[in-house]
Amino acid sequence: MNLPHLGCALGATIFSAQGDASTSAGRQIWARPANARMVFFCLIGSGGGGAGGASGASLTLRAGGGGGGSAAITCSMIPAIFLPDKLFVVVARGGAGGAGNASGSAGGLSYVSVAFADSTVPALVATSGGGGAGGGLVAGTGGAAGAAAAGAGAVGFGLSIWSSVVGVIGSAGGSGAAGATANWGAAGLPTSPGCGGGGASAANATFAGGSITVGGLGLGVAGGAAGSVGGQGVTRIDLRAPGDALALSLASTAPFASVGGGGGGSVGAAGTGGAGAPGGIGCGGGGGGAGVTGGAGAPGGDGLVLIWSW
Amino acid sequence: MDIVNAPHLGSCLSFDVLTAQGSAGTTAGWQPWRKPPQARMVFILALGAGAGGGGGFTRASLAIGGGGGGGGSGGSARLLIPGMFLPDELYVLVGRGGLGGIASGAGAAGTRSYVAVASAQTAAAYLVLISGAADAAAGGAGTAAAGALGAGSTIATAALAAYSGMGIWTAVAGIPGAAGGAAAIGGASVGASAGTLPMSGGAGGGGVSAADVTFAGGAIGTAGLMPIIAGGVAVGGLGTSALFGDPRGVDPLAMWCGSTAPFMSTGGSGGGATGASGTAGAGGAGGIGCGGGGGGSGVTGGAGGRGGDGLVLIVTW
Repeated sequence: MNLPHLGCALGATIFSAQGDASTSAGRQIWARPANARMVFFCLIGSGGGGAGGASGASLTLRAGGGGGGSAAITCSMIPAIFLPDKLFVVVARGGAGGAGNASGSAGGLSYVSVAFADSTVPALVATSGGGGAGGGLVAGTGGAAGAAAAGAGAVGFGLSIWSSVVGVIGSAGGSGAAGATANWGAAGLPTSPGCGGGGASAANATFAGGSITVGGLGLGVAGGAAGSVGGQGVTRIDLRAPGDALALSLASTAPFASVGGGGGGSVGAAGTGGAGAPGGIGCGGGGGGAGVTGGAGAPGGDGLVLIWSW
Repeated sequence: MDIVNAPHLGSCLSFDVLTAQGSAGTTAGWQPWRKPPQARMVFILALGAGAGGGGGFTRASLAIGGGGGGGGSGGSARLLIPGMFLPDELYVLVGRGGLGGIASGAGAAGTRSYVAVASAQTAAAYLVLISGAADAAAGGAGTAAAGALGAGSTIATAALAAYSGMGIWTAVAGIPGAAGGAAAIGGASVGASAGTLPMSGGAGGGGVSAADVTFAGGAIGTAGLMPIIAGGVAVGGLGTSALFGDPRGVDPLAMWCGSTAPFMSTGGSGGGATGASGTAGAGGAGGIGCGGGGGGSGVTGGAGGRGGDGLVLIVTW
């Protein structure tokens, strides 16, 4: 990789999720540059999936699906002498969104390990967190925040300087109300959880899904209007040219930012609620809107692992 | 200050020491910092400003008087972050030291330092780093009792800055100042480098008794490589302003940048009291990020010392 803005780093490698993170297909190899003195890792876990909106008969109270939680992020710097020539990287896949009337799945942790297919503590150089981001619940509860890593979570932490920041709880689905919103960048991370889906009232009143409130340099995502799909979460690193998240980031000098998915809007007397929208890197998926058939929740964003050496 | 040719700094791409400019309370105080195009790693240190010391109590002869309390120090936060995660330009606000209190008046708080992705924005979603969770608290005014110490800036949390999690981040709280002297004791002393920072709060001003017996201001106690900084003597001695760590230096910041001595900074010592007449000693001014000393009590109370400005240091490689 030859990125001018990365200067004369010996290595600058970005790993995105590959294959199935739970199998050996998802494991990738990083080779330590021969002259590396220091190695810096940034590990982002994956976001939890949003829940599907509740399904129920017309003229009944129904809740929108809860949004998925966002992942913890951990960074670590370690002298290269403590590392083997090769490391093995697993980048977590985002948790699946729930189908209508079903909860979302939890996100996973990203790892850097000294041994292939070994994610136990004695083998780990670093881990993205202490627990995966939770999936949203069909009852409307937002998914749990990804837990910050603890010192006992990776043997490599004892040889490095590192810090870890907890993710954010997913926003709640509305119960006969609009889905809850989420704030971007409010918890020490440039990410956000997923939003809740809109609920439907016992009088068949319908509501919009939750949105991501604009913060910082202007990352916001709209919730779906009643009966509509929520706004899609994105990962932007170049805010001047939004589009493909990761590709743009590599060629840009804009700050990293990623947002969760918006919630789907609800329907009342008939039809399917709007689906939630997928989350960006490390962010939660949006919950689906309630309806006679609940809208589907959306998957959380995949994780990411970045390794620099110099 | 842009220093790129200091031998002891090695081959870093840039080494910028940003000091307080304009008013920290207005946009005039914000400064842009431009990321070198080839920066792959960026280290940022943000030190908040120290608070001002409280003024000593103005009282009639043969009445009890308390010295002013010393101001608290600023907090510190550090972030090591890949340059890729940052925009081309950052905006920095370096905290201004709090003013010392006039006689019988409290000092002013020392403000925090900020590093943001947009000018004049201090909300978490804009911040890369912030020096503390609250400003350093001012030393209290002397009354018939001792002036209260000013608390140090409370420790920053990761949630206060959106980019904390994209790098290795850590923070420590500021250090409290010392209380002023009461009726029959001198101002309390504080230790240099007593906490997890090579800094200190300000010492307390000296008190005076109902018999007009006067007392010295508190000192900054010796610690590590820092010599003792004596408090103002009774009667009416001025507190001493902060020394800096470089034994060759006079101007602290300039000498530090050109030296290999370790960074050290202290608060100001307390002013001494007067009894039957005269103006009590003023508290000394604090060094970078440190609290001002409290003023002594007298027929005219001594003023508190000013807190030291904060500092932001950005190194890239």
